[in-house]
Amino acid sequence: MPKKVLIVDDSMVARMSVKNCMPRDMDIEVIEAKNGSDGLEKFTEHVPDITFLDLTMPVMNGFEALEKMKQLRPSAPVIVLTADVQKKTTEKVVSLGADRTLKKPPLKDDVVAILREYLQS
Amino acid sequence: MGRITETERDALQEMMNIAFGQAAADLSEVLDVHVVMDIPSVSVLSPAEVRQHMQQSFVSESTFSIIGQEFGGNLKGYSYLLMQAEQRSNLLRMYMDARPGKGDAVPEEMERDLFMELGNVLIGACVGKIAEMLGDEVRYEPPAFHEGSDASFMQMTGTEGVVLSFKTVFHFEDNDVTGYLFLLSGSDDLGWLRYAIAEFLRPYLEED
Repeated sequence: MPKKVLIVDDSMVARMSVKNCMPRDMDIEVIEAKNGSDGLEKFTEHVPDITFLDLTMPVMNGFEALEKMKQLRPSAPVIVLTADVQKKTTEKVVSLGADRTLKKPPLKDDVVAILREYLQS
Repeated sequence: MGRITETERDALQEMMNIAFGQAAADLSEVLDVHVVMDIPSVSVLSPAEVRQHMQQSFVSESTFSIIGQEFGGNLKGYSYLLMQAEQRSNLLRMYMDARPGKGDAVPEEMERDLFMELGNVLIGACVGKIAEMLGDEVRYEPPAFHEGSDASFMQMTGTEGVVLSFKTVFHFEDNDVTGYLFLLSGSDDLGWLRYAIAEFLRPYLEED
């Protein structure tokens, strides 16, 4: 059964940049969402094994989506993928329960390492 | 008017997001304050539409402080940082509070210099990062200071072809300061830009 990866980002290019990092030797089903609200719905519906979440999005931002996701499933890995690399932003998402933060644009090696860590353990 | 595809526009918007994220991090280090970023937007305009586009940022009848800086490379144009004049004082107070001698009064003549310097940092980080992602290198003219309540300071209105407008609005957390950052890049020919965007996207599109 494939592992489910949810990518939440309002930018199609940003979603594509994460999708392209998926290693071919892993059986992965990618689910995409265009904002925090859409992401939260798909998080509930699909129960992803890992979520990559942007912060700056319309409708519902990533901070709010992260908080709600962690309320729904505290153990679900959520990786914040953001261009906002300020120290206080990192501290805030960690306090909301983010399992890791990654700087945009993501490096393939970093994404692969995270997928192997969370999906193969 | 020249056109770009939705994917190209999305790529430029994501570049602005990444570039401003870096610029905000630099600024937050200088000011020791958290910068809240809004979603950036990218518009393709005719030169005649640019002033009207920018005019929309002028709220009420407030006077704005403006830093303008010209940049040139394959990517060329003007960048502008806009802030309401009374908020400029708050920004400078934040800057002074983050330094030794906290609480000292800021001399009037120092306000403008500091504002120009901060504008220079923000614009340089943002334009430089976008240029880097497009495989370009830009040169900068010295920044210039303006004050006014409309967009009459703007240049580029005589440019032929199209103007790409990158716009982002930002706020400083817990402080009444809102800034508007515009990067306006004029071009007679979108050929180079489209090629550079395609190169930027290539790693994301290539199969292993």
